[in-house]
Amino acid sequence: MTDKVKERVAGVFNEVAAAIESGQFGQKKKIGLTLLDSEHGIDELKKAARLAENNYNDLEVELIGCEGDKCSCLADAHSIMDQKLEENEIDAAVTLHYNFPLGVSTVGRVVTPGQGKKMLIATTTGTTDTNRVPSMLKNTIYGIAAAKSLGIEKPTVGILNVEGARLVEKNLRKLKENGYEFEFAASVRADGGSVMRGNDLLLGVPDIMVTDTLTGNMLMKVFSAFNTGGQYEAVGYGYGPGVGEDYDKLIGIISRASGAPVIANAIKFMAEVSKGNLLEITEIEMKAANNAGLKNIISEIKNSSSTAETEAVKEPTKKITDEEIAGIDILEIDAAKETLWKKDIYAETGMGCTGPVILIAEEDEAEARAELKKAGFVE
Amino acid sequence: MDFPVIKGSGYVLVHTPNILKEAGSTQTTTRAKNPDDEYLKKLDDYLRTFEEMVAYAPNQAYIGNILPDELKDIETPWYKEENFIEGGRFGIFGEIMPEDEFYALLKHVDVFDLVKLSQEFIKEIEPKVAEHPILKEMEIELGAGEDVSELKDLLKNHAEPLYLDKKLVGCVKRAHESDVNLNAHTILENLVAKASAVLSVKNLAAKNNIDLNDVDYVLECSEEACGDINQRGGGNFAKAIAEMAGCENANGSDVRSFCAAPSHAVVNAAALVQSGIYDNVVVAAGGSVAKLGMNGKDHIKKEMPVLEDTLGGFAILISKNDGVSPVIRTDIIGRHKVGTGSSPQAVISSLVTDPLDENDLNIKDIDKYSVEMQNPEVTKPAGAGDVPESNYKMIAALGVKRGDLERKELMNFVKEHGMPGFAPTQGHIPSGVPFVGPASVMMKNGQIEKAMIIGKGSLFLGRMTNQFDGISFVMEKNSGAKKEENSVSDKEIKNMIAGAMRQMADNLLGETE
Repeated sequence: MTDKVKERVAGVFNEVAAAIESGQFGQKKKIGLTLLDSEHGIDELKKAARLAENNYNDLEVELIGCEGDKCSCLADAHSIMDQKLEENEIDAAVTLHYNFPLGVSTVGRVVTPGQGKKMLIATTTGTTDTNRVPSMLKNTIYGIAAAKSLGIEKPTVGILNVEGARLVEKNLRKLKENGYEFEFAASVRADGGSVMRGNDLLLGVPDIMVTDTLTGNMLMKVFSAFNTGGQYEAVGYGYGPGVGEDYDKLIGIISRASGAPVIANAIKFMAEVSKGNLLEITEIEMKAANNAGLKNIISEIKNSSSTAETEAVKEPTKKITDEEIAGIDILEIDAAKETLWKKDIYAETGMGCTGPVILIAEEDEAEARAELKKAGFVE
Repeated sequence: MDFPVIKGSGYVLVHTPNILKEAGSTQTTTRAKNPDDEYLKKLDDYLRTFEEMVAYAPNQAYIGNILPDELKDIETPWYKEENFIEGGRFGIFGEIMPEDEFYALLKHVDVFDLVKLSQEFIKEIEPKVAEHPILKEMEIELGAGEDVSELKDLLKNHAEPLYLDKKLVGCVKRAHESDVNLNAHTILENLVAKASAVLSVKNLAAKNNIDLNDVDYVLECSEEACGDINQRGGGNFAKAIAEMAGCENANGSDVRSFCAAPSHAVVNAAALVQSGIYDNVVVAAGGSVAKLGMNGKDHIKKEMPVLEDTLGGFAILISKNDGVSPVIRTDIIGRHKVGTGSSPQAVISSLVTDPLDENDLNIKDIDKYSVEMQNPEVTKPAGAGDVPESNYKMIAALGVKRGDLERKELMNFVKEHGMPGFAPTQGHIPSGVPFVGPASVMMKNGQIEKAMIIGKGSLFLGRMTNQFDGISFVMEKNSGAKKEENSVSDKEIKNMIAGAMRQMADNLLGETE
């Protein structure tokens, strides 16, 4: 055994010894909770913290704002919280009205009224992507990461029947064929399929319900407050942890209307994903999805929606290109090609060993050169 | 993973204005059309002396007396006398050889008695050979030599002449009466490639204290082909070079892929070492006669010296990890695949950003990119532009598109992560590998951590395919420590301890029973 391994073994012994003394096995997760801006007041938040600590012995709550740390507004509380997360003083945090960077959105967790089943909704707040279908594709991966960090080894994925659902389904199948492993859920409706309807939503058929973020946000409200009239969110686990590629903090979101039971669950939710290494799992899942071509699929989707407008120049009849014209600036090479296309001269672009070139048929070379000169691409 | 390292490199240049005139492809094709062409007449007035060629800043960068980045501070045009720099013909990576010494080497590497030298020339060159730090160790026997009249007879019989200052000092005979693959011109081309590669391997050994007996394998990667009518391009340059350089224990073979061949060869060599098949693999290539004076007409038109009067050669030794030399990150390899396509964006993505993405690296994580390092002073007058710069711009433009950098940073990126071109336009010679030596120096000095070496080529030159080609690899400063074995996870340790505790519990229970 090397010294390094010995050190680690000794560390485990110390942990065990501490556990025997305290009667508390496993390290407690420290979860920060900001105390501002709830519609139900500070006391509701404090009540939630007590509730969480009493119900679950694997976590402790650190209150942020108003008492120990003097701060008067939520923004201050957020910066204190961010700092504590960065310095590993706390493992995760629960807060509200937090601005995630573009690319990060939250995976919420509800208790479905149909069968009291827990179901993840991916995603519920934040912006995954500016484009709808790519956004839902990434939401799927975020949802899978969250589910796996909660210990669901083979989570099932359903796609809520919102605009773009079929495209999302088609591209998820592509990912799956390319080797990204996950399971589709099957709708309870007679026609089946992995696109989910109202019944599936109420029953909680899939482990992860994939949707656009706005719809997801609305679903959270309905699931947690349908029985209270909306002012008080009484059931469920809140809007969940922010997940994103390269995002390195565990921050869980509740709303201004979340009641103490929901907040306590949100605290527990964050302790669980912290223990389940959500950040590492997200990295692994994104990598696996990218290896299966997620990035290419997304750029294809984005291109197909933009080429429709730009593809104005018609491609001339293809020819064998056996000559090349060099000396055109790399940033203008495509424009140079289009200039030739407009004159009905067939050309391709290429990157040879001496830099960018226009590839051209021998018989067109002189004419092409003249055109490029006229347009100022070559001297 | 224990990565292979770049143990050392050797770089040589040979000044060959006479071979340029007699055998460079621009000159031979012009002469075939019209022996009295104006260009051929003017040529003599535009050729450089050895001293001018040695004092030329890009050449000093190639043999390692200055770093490529230092060229930024030297006024252009570099070929003007006022911008010459001192440094001499020997550098930290290798040397610059004059044509007369090279003729002696050419004779030495010829084992079929095809190179003939005049008696007078042999008398003049022998003392120079005896003083040369490397040639003097090579037991070069030039023999008594021929009468000039005999040489003239051989020229009538299809031999290629070797001149010095308009004086006939030797010739290269054809090796067969009717086989074009063995005619005198081809034999000259091949012997030149062989001799300059041998000189590169010798310099690699001399400058890095390497015992060539330790070399297990040689991969040759020039653009020439040797073989006869029944196997044109059959090879094997590598073994011929290994023999002449004194790599007694080496086996070898040739790698061909136009300009991209050196990078392919380095990756192959790295694989051979990392797999444990060989401990020491040399990648080497000599220079190309055909490309001498390739853009000469444009240079004369612009009233500047014909700069392509220089053969290039290099040799790189790839060995097992020694904890010191820069490693080759064999897990970061960029490949231009058959399906990649030829558009500049596709080519650069496949070679640069794809391998970076696979390894979660940003475009800025690579401190220096080495692309086609052609000297812009050679290519710009011929209309091909500044080749390295356009490659750097493309990489930067991709970075902007991906959000790795902002548009306004584009030119800054080109400056910081690129460098001026400094290699002779000898096809495979400028292709990425000239920076392997400087990169090792910069890593030793702590100036850079990672460099990407990119080899590219156009295969359609051979009229077999329209495909482009390319391969890239990353060199990284050696972190020193061998990798810590971390095969036992925390969870496994906990399980082991839990098991031990249960055993202890069982023992206790056993005692009480």
